[in-house]
Amino acid sequence: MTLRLDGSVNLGAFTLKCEIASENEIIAITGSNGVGKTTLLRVLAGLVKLTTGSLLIDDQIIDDAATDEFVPAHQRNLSMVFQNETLLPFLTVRDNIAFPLRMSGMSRSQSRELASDAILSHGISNLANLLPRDLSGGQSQRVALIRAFIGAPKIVLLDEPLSALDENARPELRKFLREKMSKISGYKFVVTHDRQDVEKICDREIRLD
Amino acid sequence: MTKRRPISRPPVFIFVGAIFGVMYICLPLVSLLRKISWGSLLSQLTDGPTLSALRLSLVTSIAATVLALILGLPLAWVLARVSFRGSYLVRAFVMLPMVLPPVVGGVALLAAYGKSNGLIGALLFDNFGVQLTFSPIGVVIAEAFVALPFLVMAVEGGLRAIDSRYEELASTMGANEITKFYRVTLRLLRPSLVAGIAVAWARALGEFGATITFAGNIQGRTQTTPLAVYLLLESDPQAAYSLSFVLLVVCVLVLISMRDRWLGSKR
Repeated sequence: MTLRLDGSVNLGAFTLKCEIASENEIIAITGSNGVGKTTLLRVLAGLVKLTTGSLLIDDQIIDDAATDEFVPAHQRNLSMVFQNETLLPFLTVRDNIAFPLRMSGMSRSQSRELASDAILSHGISNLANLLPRDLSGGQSQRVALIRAFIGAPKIVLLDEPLSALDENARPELRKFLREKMSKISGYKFVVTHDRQDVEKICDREIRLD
Repeated sequence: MTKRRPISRPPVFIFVGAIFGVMYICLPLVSLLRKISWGSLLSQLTDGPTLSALRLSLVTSIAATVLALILGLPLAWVLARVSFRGSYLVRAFVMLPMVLPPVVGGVALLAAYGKSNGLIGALLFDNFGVQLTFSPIGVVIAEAFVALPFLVMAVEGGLRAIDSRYEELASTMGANEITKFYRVTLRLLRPSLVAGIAVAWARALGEFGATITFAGNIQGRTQTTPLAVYLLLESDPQAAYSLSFVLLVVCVLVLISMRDRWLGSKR
């Protein structure tokens, strides 16, 4: 089972080059600013179409610039944590966490129940009914990470997942990420600048330049 | 990036000019209040022809707002999010009723929907016996014609202000296009949408020129409140003042409650 990306995106200045990932590895994506790390995640997520080449997952064409075949984001069964804009501003913490479950067709009450369980197990019950504007950057990031693993995603894409957190809050969440991602059979990418993230969370590093 | 606004005090003559500007608008309105006989206000408003004008205005203005919403939402969407050559021309034509003399709008509507020689109106009348002119539906058409740009302006501004990353976030969580629209875009758009609806409704409620030209001035059928005010000014000025007062209060309340949101920028 493989994910094969061999293509490029024209976004004015730069293009992306090919990479291959095999299932169950947690891959760190590193490289200097502006090299296209986030764009790579957006291609994998289906938020950006390839302008040349193709993306294949488990031998299925997901994105092919030549034939215009394209599986949109909502059909890719993925979890993505953005660097900013991590939560929907009009939903409470609980409903934000329940959102992916709702989208997968689960009932409102059941999805809320599961979200409440996750909130409880992370010890943030006091945040459950707050709106994102009432959270600190670190709290938002934590909620987004909990949400990322509430379902059973096939692709996990984390863009600088711990950058908004205090230095001393990071080790615990690295452990959480490592644990959660190890349980998921699929493709897992972590964009990061932090060597600790690469070493403690990931199995392999791909450096873009 | 937010624009920095100057905090220095403006020169005195600017202040004086601004005060005259406010007075220019407010003096006639205050004078109107003086003319109202508060004791008989209620009885005048519930009088037969007055009440029927108010009722007709309420029904037609709401229907016109719904029509403007149905037409205006997709239009605002395209103007805000699709880049195409000549989009400024489309916007100019859509905004036209804001500056066009309403009577010209009414004449144009007659040319389109008039039963004897209107472009579409003749077809409708000859084939289905449907007459739009001089009917309550005609009132709705005329009101929606002038109200549409206000809705489009507010909603387009609102759509431009929405951070598309929230919509992307929803897609990554499995929301398809329709769900994303209802659960994310519309939700984020709500303040602008409400503002657009309110301002469009207020404009429809006050419509005069296009209505009288296209739908006529038939009591109980096409005589809306502004038309009634105009007629009553001759026969029963007190009733005209009372009706004017109602329209004034509604418009003031709408604009105050919007807190500038209808301009599409503040949120």
